[in-house]
Amino acid sequence: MGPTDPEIREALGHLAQTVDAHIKSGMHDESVVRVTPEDLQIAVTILTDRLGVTHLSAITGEDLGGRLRLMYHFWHGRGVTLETELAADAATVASIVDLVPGATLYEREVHGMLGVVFEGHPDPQPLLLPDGWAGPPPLRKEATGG
Amino acid sequence: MIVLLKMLVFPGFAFLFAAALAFDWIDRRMIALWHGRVGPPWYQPLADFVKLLAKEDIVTEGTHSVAAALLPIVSLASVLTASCYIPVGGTVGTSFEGDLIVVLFLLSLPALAYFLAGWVSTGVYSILGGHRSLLQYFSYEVPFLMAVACPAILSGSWSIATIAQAQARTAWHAAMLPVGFALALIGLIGKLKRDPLDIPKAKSEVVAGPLTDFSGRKLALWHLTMNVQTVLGIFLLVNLYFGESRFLDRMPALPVFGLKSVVTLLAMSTASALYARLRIDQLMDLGWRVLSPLALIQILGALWIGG
Amino acid sequence: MARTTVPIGPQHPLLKEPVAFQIELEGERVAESSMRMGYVHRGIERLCQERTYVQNLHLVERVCGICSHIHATTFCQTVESLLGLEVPLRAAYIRALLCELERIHSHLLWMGVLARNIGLDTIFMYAWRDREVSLDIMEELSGGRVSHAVNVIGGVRQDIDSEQVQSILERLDALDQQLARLLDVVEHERSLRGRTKGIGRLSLAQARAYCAVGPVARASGLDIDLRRDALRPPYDRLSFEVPTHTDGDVWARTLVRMQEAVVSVQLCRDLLTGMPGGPVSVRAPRRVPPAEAIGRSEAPRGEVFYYVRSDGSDTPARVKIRTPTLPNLVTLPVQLGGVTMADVSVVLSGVDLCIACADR
Repeated sequence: MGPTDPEIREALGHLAQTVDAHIKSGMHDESVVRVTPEDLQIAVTILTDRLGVTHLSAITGEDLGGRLRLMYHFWHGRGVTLETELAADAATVASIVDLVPGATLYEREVHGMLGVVFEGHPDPQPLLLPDGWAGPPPLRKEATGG
Repeated sequence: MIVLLKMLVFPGFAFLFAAALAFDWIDRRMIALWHGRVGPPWYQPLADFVKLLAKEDIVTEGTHSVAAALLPIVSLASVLTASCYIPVGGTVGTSFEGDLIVVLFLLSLPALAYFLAGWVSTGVYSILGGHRSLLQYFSYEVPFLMAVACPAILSGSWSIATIAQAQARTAWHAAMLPVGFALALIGLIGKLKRDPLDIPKAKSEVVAGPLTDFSGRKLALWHLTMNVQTVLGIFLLVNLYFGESRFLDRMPALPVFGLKSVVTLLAMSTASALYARLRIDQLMDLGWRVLSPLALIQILGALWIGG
Repeated sequence: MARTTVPIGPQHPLLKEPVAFQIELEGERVAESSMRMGYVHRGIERLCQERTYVQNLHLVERVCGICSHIHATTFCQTVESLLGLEVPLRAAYIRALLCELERIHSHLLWMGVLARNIGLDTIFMYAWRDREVSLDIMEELSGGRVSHAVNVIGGVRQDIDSEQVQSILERLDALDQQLARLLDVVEHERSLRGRTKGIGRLSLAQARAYCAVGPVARASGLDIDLRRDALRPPYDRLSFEVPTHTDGDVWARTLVRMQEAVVSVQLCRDLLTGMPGGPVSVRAPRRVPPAEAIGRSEAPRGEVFYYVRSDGSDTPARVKIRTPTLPNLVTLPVQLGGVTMADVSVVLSGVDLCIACADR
């Protein structure tokens, strides 16, 4: 079984002390922490080293109009999500593949669907787009017309 | 005239063609029985053959088209030539001392043609299948040849018809050389590239092996060759190991022979249904570490019994 | 030694769905492998943004053909989380019943495909014949063999009566015996073991690092099962075994899946006999308030993950679907390292690819 809520709270509290993190509420049964893109790698390291988290369920990307939101959903008996925001025209963030090798395809998908550049990714090819895709990344506002 | 009839009708080409289709049908029904299915109707092998003849014959770019056209014909021709020397229920086209060697040679030409078919095609699956078919050939052929030599050694003759008749005086060679019969059967399964030894044409690995790029009439001829080879291989084994018997000499020869052949076929079908495909290295391991030594021992046994 | 490049896919007798692998062989051994997916990418996440929640319920069921119900169930659970709805316990039981039946059908389908790919057609025929039992039960419960449309937001669409329960229990007993025989074959049949043992090894550390899920992870010793770990009803009130193994090869995965099928039959029995009374759905409010929610479930292939964000309109702002085949695909280059060409088909079969799921 995973850690108890107090253990998670303790780890997240430590995270909030180490970097500029903001613990959000509102998602049922899931702890959400907002960090800056620069602190993302440190935050992931705290989760993996201090809490022993290894399982990354998914990386969700969303275009909120002008800014892109990335959410890294971890699972350790309970759900823990790290959230960060990037500017839509400067969508670059460090890759976490050397910390969590299982992130490789998720980052490629976000790269293809939202145009986010993951610095340090070993194989930055879009995952699901056809060869020679010339349009905007399909989940961006300019593509969905939203 | 008689010779021509023997060659063309019985026990020649027409009979072999019919027997090839019939054996294919029996094989498929037996496997279906093991699977819990019904299986195809009696005319299915004929329908498949006719359908293939009618299909478009595609020659892929880069394939040596003359070789690709000749190889199935050469294959079929060699097995049909071999049929002249193999008795069917006592009737044989012609026989002479040493025709066993000739038959063995002729029956191994299709293996070479099969490899060459992969060699002259351009697809990677064809070449891979061709490699495997050669590796497989070296694994089963040695024990097969040794196992087929045992009855010859035991009966003191290298003519198939003579070996078959010699068993009327003694007993079935299968009773005296059971290991030899088992080895010959395994070798035959390898020669015919049947499951579990259909490694060169494993559908999930090399699509169709050397024959991947063949279609239409050429493929129909390849399938016919394989079916005729099945029939002749079984006939050969039945003659060598389950030849004439003094207990059964009152019964009509042809039906008895047919029954023995069908039983052998059913044994091979059962082996197909029961085992997973071997890997090529597993087959080579089996062939050289188990089958060949056993065949050697059986040869010594044959020498001892016969001598 | 010269290298041969063998393309497997997008069309190949080995693959049920289009995906392209480039296998570089040195002799008969695999030196390198690479993968190209996206051949059946239908843009479902984007389509979800343009459809209402009820329409999306039918859309996500079509992400995959084999595990359709679990997708619909997880989506429903996520939307119900958004709405703050608690579904009746009876509905949770019926949903779980279909999930377990789907697990049985999926594992038997996979067993047949593995057997076919190693040339053991007999087991393919037997496994798919046994699979018919679970498909017939699902058809009786929902009207469809592989596409059920049982879920509604707030519960399930229809109830099951005591006659159906009785007849299903009888058929489950027969299925149990057949599964026991299949499991016996898997454990003892030498040619099957010879082709699958030691092939496609994935160590526990590798499974953890690549975030592997499902039977692939459990066969390597990674004990994760969201049915037991997520503590959602009705699994929180049922006790069941989660088979694991330590070898991490294809044979271990075969054992794990077959044993899971056996456990699922027992779970179906427990669900049927322990089903509480009550309604099978609650009324769901028309408007979904602005909120976000996450749903996780254990599909036959592993963890399926849904994230839904609502912005108060009648279409969701974002639906994120992460299917279990995707993390397992990451482990393929590791598994394929150094195996022979013949084993490539075994490894690819062993990881139970569902490309429609992975591509969405």
